[in-house]
Amino acid sequence: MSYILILGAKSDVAKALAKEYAELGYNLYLMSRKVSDLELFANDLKIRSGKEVLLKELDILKWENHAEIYNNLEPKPIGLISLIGLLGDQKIAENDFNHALRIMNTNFVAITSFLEIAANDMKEKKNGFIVGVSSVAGDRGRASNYYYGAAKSGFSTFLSGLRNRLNPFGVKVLTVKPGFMKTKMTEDLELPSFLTISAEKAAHLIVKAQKKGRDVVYIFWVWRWIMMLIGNIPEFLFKKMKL
Amino acid sequence: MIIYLAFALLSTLFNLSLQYLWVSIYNGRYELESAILIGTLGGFVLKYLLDKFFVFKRSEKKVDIKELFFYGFTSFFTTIIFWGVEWFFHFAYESEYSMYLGGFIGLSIGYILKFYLDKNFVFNVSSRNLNSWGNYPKIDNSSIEPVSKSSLKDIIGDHVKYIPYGNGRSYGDSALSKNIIKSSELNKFIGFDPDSGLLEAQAGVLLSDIIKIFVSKGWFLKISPGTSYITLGGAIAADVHGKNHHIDGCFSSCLESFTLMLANGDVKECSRLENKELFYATCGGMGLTGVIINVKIYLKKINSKWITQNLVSCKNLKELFAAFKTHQNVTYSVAWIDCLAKGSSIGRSILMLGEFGEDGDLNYKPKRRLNVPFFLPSFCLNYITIKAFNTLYYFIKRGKKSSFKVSIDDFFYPLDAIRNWNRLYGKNGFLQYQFILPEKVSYEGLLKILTIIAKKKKGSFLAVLKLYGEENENYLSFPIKGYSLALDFKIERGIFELLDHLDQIVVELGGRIYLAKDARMSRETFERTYHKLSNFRRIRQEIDVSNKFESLQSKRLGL
Repeated sequence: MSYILILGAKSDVAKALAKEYAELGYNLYLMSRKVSDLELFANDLKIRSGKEVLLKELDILKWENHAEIYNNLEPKPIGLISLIGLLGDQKIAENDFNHALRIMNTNFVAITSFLEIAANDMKEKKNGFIVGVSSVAGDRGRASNYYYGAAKSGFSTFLSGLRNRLNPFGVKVLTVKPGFMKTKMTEDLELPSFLTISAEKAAHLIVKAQKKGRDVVYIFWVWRWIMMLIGNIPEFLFKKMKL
Repeated sequence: MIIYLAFALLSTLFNLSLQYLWVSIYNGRYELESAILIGTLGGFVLKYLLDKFFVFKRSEKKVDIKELFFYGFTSFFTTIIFWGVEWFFHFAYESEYSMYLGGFIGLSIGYILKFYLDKNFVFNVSSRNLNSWGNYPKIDNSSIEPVSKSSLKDIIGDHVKYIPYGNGRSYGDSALSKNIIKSSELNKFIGFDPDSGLLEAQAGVLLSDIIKIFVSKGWFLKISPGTSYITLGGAIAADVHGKNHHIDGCFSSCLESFTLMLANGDVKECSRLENKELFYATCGGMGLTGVIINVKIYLKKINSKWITQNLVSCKNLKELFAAFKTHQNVTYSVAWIDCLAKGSSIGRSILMLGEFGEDGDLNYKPKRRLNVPFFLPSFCLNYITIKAFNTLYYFIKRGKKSSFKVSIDDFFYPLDAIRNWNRLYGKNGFLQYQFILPEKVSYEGLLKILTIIAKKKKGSFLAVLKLYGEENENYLSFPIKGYSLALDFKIERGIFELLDHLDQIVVELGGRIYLAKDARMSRETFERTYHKLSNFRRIRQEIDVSNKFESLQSKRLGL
């Protein structure tokens, strides 16, 4: 059975996605930094599902290694899902450009390098799908996290272009824009419960959207309308707001 | 509550303004009727959404049909009350004001009632406190779920006393305390050796998960209790047993070893060879020696997902004892007993016997489960309903042909088919009373106890009688060679006195009460019946854990 490749596999949503795809009968490549932390998880999933779960080390910021890492995969994955993300700290980024660079490289620049390599392979085979998990934060820049937002915005735009390029070759590209999710990334934040969903629920919705061949989805649905509202606030008002 | 009433007002206004709007654009024959219909529908939907998202804070986007139905039902019900009161006032006092006063009182009663109905039944907002399966006793608690060995160590490092909690299936207060360590995130499978059948997994893994994965590969639990929704850690802590105790013993008999985190964060490997006193103390030790982390157990090879079941109906206790003796070599046996039968029918029962089939059919899928969505009012279970159920059950089972194939789920876990069946006993909860008597005095003792229960008319649906094999070496394991009876009693007046009385009989006959079910036995009863208790207390002192692990039960019994 075919393999699915998950980047940023240590995140809660990634783990939930891995479970979903294994249950659907796919084998898995899981990639992340210090991937050995996932051994317990991978072993458990292997026993529960009876599928192959292979761990591969990947430091997304070391783009010089991307091609080699991808080319070493045998067989090649039929689908790739990127959950790489770094919220970072806006306040630090404002005074330390290295931190700002790290946020932008992790959320945008470095992923495009890896995705392009996989995309070329899929294009050649005329088969496959790519799912990029971006963020609603990329829809409009806000004082509280505009480095993160700008990077996600760039990533969303990149995915849109990639979708356009790969469409004639039957390769699907899905942009996922999650709102609030209850995960490790947000465990210290107080999130309004009716706008927040669990990692498991988010993963389930992502798989559903991917299976349906959707282009852009908000996870979950309220966020499409919230972002439409926020997007339509005139800039002269928006700049005075605290969001 | 205030928000709730504000929303009620808002949706009423919405209702009326919709009607007003409708009337201003439509002037037909059914003007009034259609206006009322549209206004009511609009107001209802608005209020449903407001209540769902803002009062009861539900996050699912899906409008659940069942939820909507129940919500509509409570609306209908409370509207009837509202109309009824208004109507009553109207006729009783015959003035215009009294009608409005009646309407106001009726509406208030209706809304307050609806608030509680919606809260408890429709949106099921329950407190975050963990309860035991019997829902008695209840205490305020906070729980924490370690995700790894190191986070567990950090938690244990706090200056707080804890009790480990698996899946909350022990009936009494053995897993209840102010602070609870929940094992639900420590639920990873680690490895399986298909040559020996040795499975290694973290303690939070559920037996139901093991069954789901391994039955189709030809493996089953060597020892399994009557529910599969317990964790490995819980199975060790209560040293649970199953229908094959008379042949295969307690859960610890399939246990190779486990690792245990002590109060100081040290991790000890425990088996019959290494740290064996700690092993004997922990098996059956109700989580009071530390937190079990990894577990190694042996599974049993099976050749079928089917059990060949035989039913033997027995007219009274004498026949039942004879049947247990005749069939003592059958691997699985348990008897359901009608505890309300009287006189010469005392002990009227159905003995269920089973052996795994040999047909090679391992194509196993877990069964779909029904649910009890809310607590039933506790008056639903009373002498009459229980009597009716027991009589009916006896005659239905008696009429069945004696040998047939049943699935693993139906044979081992009949109650697992109904999620939250404990809610049948109502909010106040219930007690399960399970005692065991030495073989020699079992008949005499059971006759005595069953007579008392039938006379007091305190029956239970599921009275289960079982033959046990030899006692093991663990310090607090429940089984001794003899017969045990398990009964459910809903919490009501007189029940504690009755059980205290039964305790006396059990103590005098040299029996004991099962800790995993207990929420009420006295320290004296406990100390007189568990003969290896001093070993357990000594170990607890030696490893210095009494300042770290405690439960309501351990405090009550001085463990």
